[in-house]
Amino acid sequence: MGREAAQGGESYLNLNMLNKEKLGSELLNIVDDPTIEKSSGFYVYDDEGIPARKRYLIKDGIPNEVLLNREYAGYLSTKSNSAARATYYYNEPLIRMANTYIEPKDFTVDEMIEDVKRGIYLKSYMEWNIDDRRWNQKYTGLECYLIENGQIKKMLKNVALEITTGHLFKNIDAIGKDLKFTPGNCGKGEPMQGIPVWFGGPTIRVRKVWIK
Amino acid sequence: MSELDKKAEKLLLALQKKGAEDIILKISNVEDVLIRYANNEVTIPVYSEISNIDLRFGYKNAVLLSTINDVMFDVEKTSENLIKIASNLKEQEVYVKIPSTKYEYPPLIEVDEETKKISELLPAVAEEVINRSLKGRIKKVAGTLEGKIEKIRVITSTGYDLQDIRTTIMLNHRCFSNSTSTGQWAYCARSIKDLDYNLVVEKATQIAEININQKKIEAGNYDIVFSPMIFASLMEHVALAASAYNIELGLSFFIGKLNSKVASDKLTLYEDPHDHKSPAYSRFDDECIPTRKKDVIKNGILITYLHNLRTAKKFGTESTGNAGIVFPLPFNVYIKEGDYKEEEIFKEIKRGLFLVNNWYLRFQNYITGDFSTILRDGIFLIENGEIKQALYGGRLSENFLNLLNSIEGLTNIKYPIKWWEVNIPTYSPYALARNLRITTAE
Repeated sequence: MGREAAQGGESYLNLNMLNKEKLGSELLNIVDDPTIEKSSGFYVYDDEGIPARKRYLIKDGIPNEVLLNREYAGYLSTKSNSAARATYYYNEPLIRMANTYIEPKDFTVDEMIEDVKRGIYLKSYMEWNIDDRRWNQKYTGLECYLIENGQIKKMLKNVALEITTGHLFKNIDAIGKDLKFTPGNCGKGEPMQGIPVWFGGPTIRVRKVWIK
Repeated sequence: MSELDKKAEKLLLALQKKGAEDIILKISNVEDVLIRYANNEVTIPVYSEISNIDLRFGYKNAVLLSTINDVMFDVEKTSENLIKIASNLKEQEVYVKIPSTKYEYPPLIEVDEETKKISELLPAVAEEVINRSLKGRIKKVAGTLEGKIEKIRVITSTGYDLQDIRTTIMLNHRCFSNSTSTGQWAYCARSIKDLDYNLVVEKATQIAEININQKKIEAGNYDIVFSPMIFASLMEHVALAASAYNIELGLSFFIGKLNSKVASDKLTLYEDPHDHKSPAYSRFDDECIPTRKKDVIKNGILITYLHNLRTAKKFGTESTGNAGIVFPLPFNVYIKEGDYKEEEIFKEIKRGLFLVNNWYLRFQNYITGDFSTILRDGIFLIENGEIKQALYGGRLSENFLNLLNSIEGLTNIKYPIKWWEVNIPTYSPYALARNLRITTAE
C-alpha cells in the first residue's frame, strides 16, 4: 500500500490478487507464524496489543492474506493479524515478518535428487539481493553440487541463481519434509529498525532454472 | 552539565577505582525530528530525544565495550557488572593505551539559529516538497526528511574532556509516474539553510518523468554513466574497504595494496571531517585524536588505510583520527570532481547505460571484490550520447577493482548524498566507466 515506498519500495503483489490470482505451484504454502515457541520471531501479542496468530501468506499457490496492523486493517475493513512490531520503545511499530517459511511436504532430499537428469543442488547460499518490488532476486551458492542422472557428482563454485519470484514459485514440483529455520535479523523502516526473526523452509525442487 | 554527564563522571571514577584503565566514555544526546511521507501525505512525524553512553575500557589488557541506554542506571551496580564481565575476557593481541597528549582541535561549531528550529521548520519543508513534485506525469511521492542535533562529550581516564556538536539534515525523495516508473534523489547538509530541496525535487521528478514505457534490459557489458546516487553508494563501499579493521578481518579488496594502483588515475577519494557544511564535521574521533583531511586514493593510488590507535599499532603506523568506539571508519567520503559538464559526459557514450540508483549491494567475495547490486529508480539506454529508452530488471554484477580501474571521467559538480543505502555522507559527481557487466533474472 506504499507506506514504505521511499526506501523499502513496494511489492509485486497487489490487493486485487488476494484469493484470486495463481502465483505459484499448488504445492506452495508460505506461512508467517509468530507463535512458534523458542523461535527468534516468537511473541504472544504484537506491539498494538493484538494476539499473535499464524498467517498463510500464500496458500496452494494463491496469495491468501497480507500482514496487517490496526491502521491498514482499517483501510481494508478487516481485522489486524498482529504483525505490528517495534524494535525499541521509542520506535513506531511497523508491519513486519516474524518467522516466515515454506510449509513442508513429504519428499526426502534423496527422492528429489533421484529424479533430476542434469541440475544443481544449491544447499546453502551467500550473496543475495532482491529488487524494490520483490520480483527480481539472486542467490549465489555457498555449498553447491552438480547433479547428473539422479546423483550428486561434484562441488561447484560461484553458482549464481538470478530468478523472478513468479518463475521460482510456478516451477516448484517437489517440496521436502526437512523443515529448517535460520535465525536472522529483519531490517525495516526509517530510522532503521532491526528485529530478530526466523526464516526457512524445507528443500524444494524447481524445474527450468537458468544458472549463471 | 546534565545529570547524565554527572553520572558518567561518577562511573569513570568507579571503574578506575575497580582497576579499569584507558577508560573512554562517550556521552551523546540526540534530538531527532523525522517526517515520513507516502501516498502524497505525511504519514508520521516522529520527535525523539535520546541520550546514552558508549564506553570502552581496558582491564588486565582485555578490552570491554558497552552501551548504556538506561539513563537511570545505578553507577555502583553497573561498574561492578562491567568489571565482572571484563575479568572473564582474554587479553588483547594488541593492547593500546589511551594517550594524554594535549592536542590542538578544530573549533566547536554551535548549531545555527535556523537548524535549532527543526521541529518547527521541517513539517513545512516536507509539505513544500510534496506539493512541488505533484505536477506533470508525477502521480505519487514518498520520502523522509530528517533533522538531527547530536551533542557529544567524551571523557577519558587520561584527562580528556572534549565536546562536539554534529547536526544532520537529510532528505530522501522518490517520485512515481506510475507504480514502476520512479525517480529518486537524496541530499544531506549540516544546516537546514544548506538543504537544497528544490534540487532534490527537480532531479527525482525529471527521472520519474522519463522512466516510462520500460523495456527489459539485455544482459551484457555496457559503458555506463553513473548518477551521483549510485556512484556514492559504490564509493562508500570503497572507503569502507580502506578501514584497517576490514583489512585485518580479511573483508577488503585492498589487502596488500597500500601504495599501489587500485583505480584509474581519474579517481581521487578523500575524507574531510573539517568541512563546515558536512553533517560529518568532527573535531576529534572517539579516542580523542584530532580529525584531519586526508586522501585515501590519490590519482588511483591507495595512499592510506583508516586507523584507530590499536590498528595503527598493529600496522606499525599512526592513528589517522578515524576511531569509532569499536573500529575505524570514515566520517565522510569525497570524490574529487573531473572536467566534464553533466551534459557532456553522456556524449562520450555511443551505446551504453545511464544508471540512477541502486540498493542491496552484496559481496560474493570481499577479498577479490566480486559483488552485485540491484539497479532501481531509472535505468536508461544511451545511444549516440542521447537517452533513448527506459529499461528495467538489471543488476550490476562486477568486481570493485575492475570497476575502479574502468573509471574514465567525472563531472565538475559534487552532490551530497546520504540515505538508506549510503549511510556515510558521500559527495559524488556523475561518473563515466567502460565495459561493466549487467545481468538479469530469467
